[in-house]
Amino acid sequence: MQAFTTLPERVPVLIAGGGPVGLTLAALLAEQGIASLTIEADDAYCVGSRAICMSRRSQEILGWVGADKPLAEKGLSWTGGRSYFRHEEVLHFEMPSDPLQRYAPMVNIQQFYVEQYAHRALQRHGDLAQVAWSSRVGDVRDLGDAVDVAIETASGPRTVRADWVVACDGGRSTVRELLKLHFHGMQYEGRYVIVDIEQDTQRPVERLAWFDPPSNPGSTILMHRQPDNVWRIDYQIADDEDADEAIKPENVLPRVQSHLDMIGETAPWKPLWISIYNAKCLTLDSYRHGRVLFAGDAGHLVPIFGVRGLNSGLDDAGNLAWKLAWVLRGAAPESLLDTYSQERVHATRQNIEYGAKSTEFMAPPDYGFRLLRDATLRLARVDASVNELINPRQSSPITYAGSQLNQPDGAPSTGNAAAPGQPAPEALLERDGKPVHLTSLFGRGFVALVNGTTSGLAALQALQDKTRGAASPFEVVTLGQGGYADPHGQARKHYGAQPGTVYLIRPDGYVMGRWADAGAAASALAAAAPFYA
Amino acid sequence: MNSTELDTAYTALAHALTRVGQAQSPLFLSMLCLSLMSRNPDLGQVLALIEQAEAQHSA
Repeated sequence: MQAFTTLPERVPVLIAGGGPVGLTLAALLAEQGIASLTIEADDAYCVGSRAICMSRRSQEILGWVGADKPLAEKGLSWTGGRSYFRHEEVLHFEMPSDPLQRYAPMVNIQQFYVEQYAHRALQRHGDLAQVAWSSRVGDVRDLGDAVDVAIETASGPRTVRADWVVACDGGRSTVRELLKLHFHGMQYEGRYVIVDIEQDTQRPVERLAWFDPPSNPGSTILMHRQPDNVWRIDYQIADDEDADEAIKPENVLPRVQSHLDMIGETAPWKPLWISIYNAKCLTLDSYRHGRVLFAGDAGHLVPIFGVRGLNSGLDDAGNLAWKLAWVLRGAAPESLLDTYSQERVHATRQNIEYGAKSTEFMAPPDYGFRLLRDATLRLARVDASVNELINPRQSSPITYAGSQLNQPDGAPSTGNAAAPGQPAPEALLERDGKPVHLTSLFGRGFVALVNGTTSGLAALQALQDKTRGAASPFEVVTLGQGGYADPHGQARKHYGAQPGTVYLIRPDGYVMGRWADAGAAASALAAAAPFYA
Repeated sequence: MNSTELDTAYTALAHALTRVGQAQSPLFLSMLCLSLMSRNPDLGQVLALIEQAEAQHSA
């Protein structure tokens, strides 16, 4: 990647770290018309496949910048998996999916492809989103009304003044260190070696797990297929094994060979990447510190099991981008950014809770968890009532229960699926005979979803007309005559059938409020109006 | 009991087992099983589950 970029003296948003979260954030900001400068220490995309499982929610977020299509084309989608105890299958799980869905529940793809697609997405905006490769953040000084960032570039030191800095610089974040901030939480002792190998295979794309396999007695092994004939293999090492020894090829390759032999994968293969991992449950207590914000691994580290790492980082970017845009436009107070921290710290704590449960099964931390896992695996062969305990609890979007942005629930009888704070459920609609997924309308401005006609609808439509052509327009989606059809009943199912119900959906696809009374449209307008004043 | 509830019970039991320790676990688990059995209205099911666990534990 070309190293030299003429750095601007001043930029609205400086993003420290050009990994998948930083590049996606830059693309999302550009989509909102906000300029940014991304500082990346490396001279190119990451090496090794690293995070490989992209959730449906992550695909949706990448869709806001047009990076979903290349991801779906290149990636390998999957919907379920199998777990084995020794030779016997003890779990076959399927994630919720249906033929009308916009995205598969999960897509496997090497992280560097995600970085590439996000980078291409931001390049479509020309100079609005600049990336300075081979550049490092050396110092961060919060001046109160701006931040001065000292940057070491290939052509010498520079200082850039930013309105806001977002640290997306990973688990060993330089920005976090410079601000003397510390993670809180715990980590598990159990260590896994992560190996990527290249091997031709015809096996279906599934998450595969073996407990105590004859190929590696006592160990636990995970396998995922990736594009380009790459296998991700994770296996747990014994507590007394030395980490440096464990990742030496002479110790890794025989174990991999033994397992490939066991499952009948006989094609020639070669290792691509070897790393080691232990589950961590660590977070900053706040993701906003003055004018510096934290996203992705820079702000939190969650266990690998359940794939909540990069997926939660992209959710951070999706939550933060619109809020930064509104604040920078002067259309919202800076306190809107506090809701970013509140919502995403809450999400991390939930992710840690789920991730800890996954870890306690995949790498039992003590006697009690070891004994119960042994019991579960033996019992699962004959007693299906315990099989769910083996389910890996894959990442799903977190509900922002208790968020300050949530409006009082004005339609509780409609059910919990689309209550304020929930990620707005998908619905395949139809307009002028063409299919339109509701979620494809998210990612820009607020969306009002109106069931049929209601008094006050004209005022909502007036706001839509007023903001047409803006970077974050207000959009009214009317279900019924003259609007969108609901041919599969998905909107009815998730949003209720009561005519006159109005939902207000945030730019990041979360339900902010819903109302079912005669003043529903007026209430939605009152909630949206401050954002379009 | 749904799968989330089973999960919660599983985690609570794992922590209790670790606190009790390996040596006292048989006694602890026997006490717990007695309590659970006495609350199960179906003797036939209890006897079948004992048989099932015995058949699987050494397999």
